[in-house]
Formats: sequence, structure tokens, C-alpha cells
Amino acid sequence: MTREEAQFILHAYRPSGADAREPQFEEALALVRDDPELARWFAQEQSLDAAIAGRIQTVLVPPDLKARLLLARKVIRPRPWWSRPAWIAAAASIALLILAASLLLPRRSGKAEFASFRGAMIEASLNETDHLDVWGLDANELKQWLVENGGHQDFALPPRLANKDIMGCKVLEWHGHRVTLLCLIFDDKHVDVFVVNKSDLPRVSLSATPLFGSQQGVTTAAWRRGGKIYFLAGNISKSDLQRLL
Amino acid sequence: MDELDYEKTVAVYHHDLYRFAYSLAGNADDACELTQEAYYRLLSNEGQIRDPKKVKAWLFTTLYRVFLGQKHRSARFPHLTISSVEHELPVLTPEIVNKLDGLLVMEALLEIEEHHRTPLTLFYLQNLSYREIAAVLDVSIGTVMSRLSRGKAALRDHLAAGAQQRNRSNCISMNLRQAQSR
Repeated sequence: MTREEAQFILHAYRPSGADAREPQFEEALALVRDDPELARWFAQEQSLDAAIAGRIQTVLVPPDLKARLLLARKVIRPRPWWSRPAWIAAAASIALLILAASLLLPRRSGKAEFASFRGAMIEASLNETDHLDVWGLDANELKQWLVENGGHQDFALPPRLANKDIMGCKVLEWHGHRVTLLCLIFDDKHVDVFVVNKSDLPRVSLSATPLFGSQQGVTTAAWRRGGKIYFLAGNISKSDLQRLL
Repeated sequence: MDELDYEKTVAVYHHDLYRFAYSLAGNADDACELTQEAYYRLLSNEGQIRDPKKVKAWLFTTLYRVFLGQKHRSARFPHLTISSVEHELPVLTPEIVNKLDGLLVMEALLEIEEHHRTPLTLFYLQNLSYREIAAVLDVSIGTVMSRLSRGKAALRDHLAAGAQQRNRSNCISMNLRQAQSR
């Protein structure tokens, strides 16, 4: 494979790193490792692509679109057969059986629990209409606000992240558990850190070493420290994030 | 698909579907309509989608086909061509891009030919791999790669031209302010 061929193929490599395990890119990536000039080009390409992708993500979605989409289900669908009275008694019996079975069966796995948590937090991070409860507070005011609103004021961020200003925060509820969202904006990057008690995700296994990932164009990292689980979601490249954590 | 799944599908994909629709239609109203139509068809055809993992690609494909269908019934969107001073354009850097408003980037996308713009938008939304983009657009993988390569070059030219124009406007207004203050 020539340098030009590798460049042609790598144009399709997403800056989120989601294609890292795609065999089509293997040979081109191997060439990147061996060719410093190609490596420079690829780093610039990824950086520029990440910047463009990040800008596109800032295009605001009309705030009422989600409500309209959810309403569509109620408007266009006829009353389903299962909601008719004759079926309700039977459905109730089945529901009781399922409830009994669910109590006897083991609880959902840690992987599923974490996936559910991650999905909800990414949604909160991407929420453009109700992103924060409060913003513009100094460190003391922020702690006071968290105390008064049931948030986690005893969080401990990694030093490089702790140096950044917390722009605002929000206290969320996830399956009856409190989650604190800390919003940080720096160098045109937007990062949200979610803090939750480890005891609220009992089956999730995380260590102090961050677990990186990406979903919906958002780079993520999750780690455990003390009795807390930290989940970070943001429009930041994995390499930049690694430097911060 | 139960109520919860539909809500989840809306929550997870409607932002990027809207942005994809905006890049096709060029305005917010039509983008909303395209997004709603895609979800409406999801509700109408949900029995046909057996594998929940395919909902994402199904929604993007459907939205694109709805757009193509509507386009046949209306005039084409005009495409602007880049000026003849391409060689004078500044080198586009992430720092320059980061200073641009998201809508300006979207406008630059809209100036690119549609067959380049569509895979490029899907690429930048980052939800779909190049294989999935090829499936959504019903073209070969090689075609997607070729269009991404050319589309990126065109987009960067437009963004660089936009940034240059913005700089000139800033200089002119600064000069005007200085002249007024004298």
C-alpha cells in the first residue's frame, strides 16, 4: 500500500476512534506507524475532522422536536389490542408471574446496568434545553448549592481536570439514585462529569484506571475513586482526554 | 418495539437525524418534517424491523429516501461554486474551525454537491461506519471513500473561504470604527 492509498482509505476513519477495530483500516494504520510524514498528516486530519464534527454537534435541535416525535406515537397509533378490557385481566396475571420470576432470577448484569447508566448520562450530556440547574458559581457557592440540592459535594476529580472551572451543575435522578452532573468548558471543549455513589451501581465493576469509549460522537471515560463512580462524556478526542485523566 | 424502546430511539437518534436532515434540506422547518416523517414511518413499519440494532441505519436510510422522494417533486437546492481565488485560501486548522459557529459549518456543507455532502455529513455525525454509510446511500464502499475524500477537500475550501471572508469583514468593521473615532 502506498502513502496516497493509505490517505485515501483513512479519510473514512472517524475521529471518535469508533473504527479502531475495523479490519479495512489495519494496513493503512500500520503504515501510519511506520511513516512519520503520514503519521503527521493523519494526526492533522483527525484533529481537523474532530473539530468539524464538534461544530456540527453544536447545531441546535428545535427544543420541541422531541416532544412532537413522542406525541406522534399517541396520535397515529390506534388503541392496541392488549389494552382492551378482555385482555387486561390476563395481562395482569402474566405480569404477576413475571414479577415473581424477576424476584427469583438474578439481577441484570453489571454490563447491562452500566450500559443503561451510560446511555442515560450521554443523553443528559447532549441535552441542550435542560442541561444545567445552576451555573456561574464559585467553588464555595457550588459546594453549598450541592449540599442544599442533594448533590455530591465530596467528589474528587483528577488533578488536571480539577484545575478547570466548573461552569455549572445539575442534580439528576437515575432509577431513584442521585447523580451529580458537573459541566466543564475549556479550550472550546465541553465535558460533563457525572458522579454517582458506587453503592447505586452495585454490579458495575470499574477500577481507578479510566475505561474509555465513544458513543453518538461523544468520547466517554468511566472510573472509580473512593466510594464514587465517575462517568465523563464530552466532545473531546480520546487522546486529549487521556492527557486530562 | 414497545413504548420505552420508541422513546429511547427518539432520545438517542433525533439530534443527529435532525442535523442530517438539515444538511439535506438546508432549513430547520424541512429538517423537522423529514425527521418526523422518518419516525412516523418507523411507527408504521415497526413490525418489519426485527433486529433493534438495525433501527439506527433504518432511520437514516428512511430519512434519506424521504428526502430524495420529496426532491423529485421540487426544485433542486442551488449549489454555490467556490470563487476563483482558491489558491489564496488560508490553511484550515482546528483552531480556525473551533471559532466557527456550527450553523456556519452547516452552511459550508450545504454548498457542496449533494452526492458528496450526504456521506460527508453522515461521516461527521459519526454514528455510522463507512460500511453503514454505503448501505444507507445504496452505493459501494469505494464510492463512499471516494466521495468522502473529495467532499472533505471541498468542505475545507468552503470553510477556509468563509473564515477568510469573516476576517475581512472584521477588519473592515474595525477600520470603520477607527475612522469613526477619529
